Amino acid sequence: MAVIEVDGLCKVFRTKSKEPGLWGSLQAVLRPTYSEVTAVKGISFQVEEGELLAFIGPNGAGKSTTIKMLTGILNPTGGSAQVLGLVPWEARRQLAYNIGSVFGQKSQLWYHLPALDSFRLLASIYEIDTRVYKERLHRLVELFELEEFIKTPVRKLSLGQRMRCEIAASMLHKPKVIFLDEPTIGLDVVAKLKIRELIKRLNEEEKTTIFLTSHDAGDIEQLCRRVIVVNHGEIILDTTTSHLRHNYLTTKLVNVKFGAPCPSLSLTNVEILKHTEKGVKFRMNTKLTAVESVLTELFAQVKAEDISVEEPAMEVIIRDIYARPVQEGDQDAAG
Amino acid sequence: MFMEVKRTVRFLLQYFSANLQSAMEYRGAFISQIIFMFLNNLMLLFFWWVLFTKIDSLNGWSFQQILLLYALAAGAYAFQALFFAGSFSLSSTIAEGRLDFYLTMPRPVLFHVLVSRSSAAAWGDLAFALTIFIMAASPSPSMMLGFLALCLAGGFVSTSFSVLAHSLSFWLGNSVGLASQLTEALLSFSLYPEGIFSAVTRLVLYTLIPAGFVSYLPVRILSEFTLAHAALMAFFALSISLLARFVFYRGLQRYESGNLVVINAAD
Repeated sequence: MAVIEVDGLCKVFRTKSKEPGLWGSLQAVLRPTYSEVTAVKGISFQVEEGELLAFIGPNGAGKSTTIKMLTGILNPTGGSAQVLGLVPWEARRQLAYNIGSVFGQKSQLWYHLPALDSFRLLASIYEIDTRVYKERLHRLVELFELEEFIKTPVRKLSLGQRMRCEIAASMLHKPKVIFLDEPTIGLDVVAKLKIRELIKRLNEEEKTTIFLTSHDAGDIEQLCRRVIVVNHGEIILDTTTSHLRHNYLTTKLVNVKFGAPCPSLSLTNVEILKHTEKGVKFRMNTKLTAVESVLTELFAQVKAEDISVEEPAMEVIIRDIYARPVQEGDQDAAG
Repeated sequence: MFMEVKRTVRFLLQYFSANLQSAMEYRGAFISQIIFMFLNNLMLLFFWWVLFTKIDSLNGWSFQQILLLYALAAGAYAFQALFFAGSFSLSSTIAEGRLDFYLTMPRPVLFHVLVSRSSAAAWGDLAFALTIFIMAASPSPSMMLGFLALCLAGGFVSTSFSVLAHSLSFWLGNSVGLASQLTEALLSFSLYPEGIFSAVTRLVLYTLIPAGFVSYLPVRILSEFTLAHAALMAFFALSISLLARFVFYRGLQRYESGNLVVINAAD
């Protein structure tokens, strides 16, 4: 069952444009000129119940604008959307009881108070019954391992601890769908891993549908089964994470250590990066030539002692997607 | 209806309590703010006291009425600053995209923004208002109740005026400066006796900058109570509250959010 249904959603912002400098500012005051910026250009997609979806794109791609429309913060310029059967910008308050949101750059916790006080206040905002709140709090403290610092003022927490509290806070009312806008922004490697583990547990144990935006390829690779890539307000790719990896994982870096010295080597359709008597390092594209044929050609010339094949990181794949046109069949792959 | 009011009051008190706890995290700053606000108000009154040692009345206003004026204006301001201090920073909340948080919560956005802040210094205003009122009127319990009701109504008027001024941000972009000037004008005018102004200015002060409903009319009600004046006061407070609500929600349709890094810290 689809919990999020988006059809032709678009958002146009009207912005004031001005020439640089003081003269430009004076002109803008006397004779302002406006231009329209289309942040989201008629996107359509569906998210099924329990899905863990990555909604990614470069800065200014329209990710946050889309989330803001789906949570009822912004009114769209056109198109339609339903979250849990409700139109977000029309039934915002009703929807708020059933969704949670974490904006990595906007805290919902009180800076000078312990997270526990913010939780209490949020329980009051969501009108959670005291007994239910206590049970829920106990569960979240356990799940997010908050016991150690839940009574410490938020200003004294590390960013990772604060983010754990933020996500727990957004889960107090047991939402069916949670929107996470860059939840790992600014975190160190260890804190990132912890947050990812918690998001995964949340999805598996509570069956919460998770709609995640991130700039971090690791978030997508380690968490999500499906990826929607947006750029310039349009969906340029909607596919599974594994399909993304296989379809775009065409470049491989091969490192070979020779068993015996080999001064000369001839390989077709590869880019040799480094060649010494003891070994060779080359880059190949699996779309041009199969790994097997390259290795066969190699073994015919030299005896290999060790071979390693490296795949590009997800980050590189994503950068590649932003730069090149969409390939056939990508849009259907997730279905 | 009763349950809804009960829920709303509980919600307001929860925020009030969280704000108070947050302010009390810094004990020294909390106490000194209150004391200095009390002294600051007293200093303003001191100049009127000096003036009234030279004259008996100022265009029909006695020193006792000036005391009532100050008590009512400080009381109304204290009510706004203690319970609805979100109204003071509403334009920056709008312009910097900080309404997002309130829009994702299942509560009425305007009410939620208003109650989300409380000014610790306003305890000094409240203490000042009560002290001056007791000194000036030696009130009976019913008169004290009347005073508190008028402070409440005046607080609704000044809060609503702030909402109207700050909502300009929906149309003008960042209008923090303009909104501050307008709200400061309301406060300043409410601290001068009505008698010193011309008829045209008075008309402005009962309409566009409604200082008349924050302090002048309440002073009249306390001095010579008439049902008509009390009804007018209640009617205006209700009308401007509804108008502020209407304008804010009209503006909200134009809200464009933002990407500023935000923390939830009390003022």
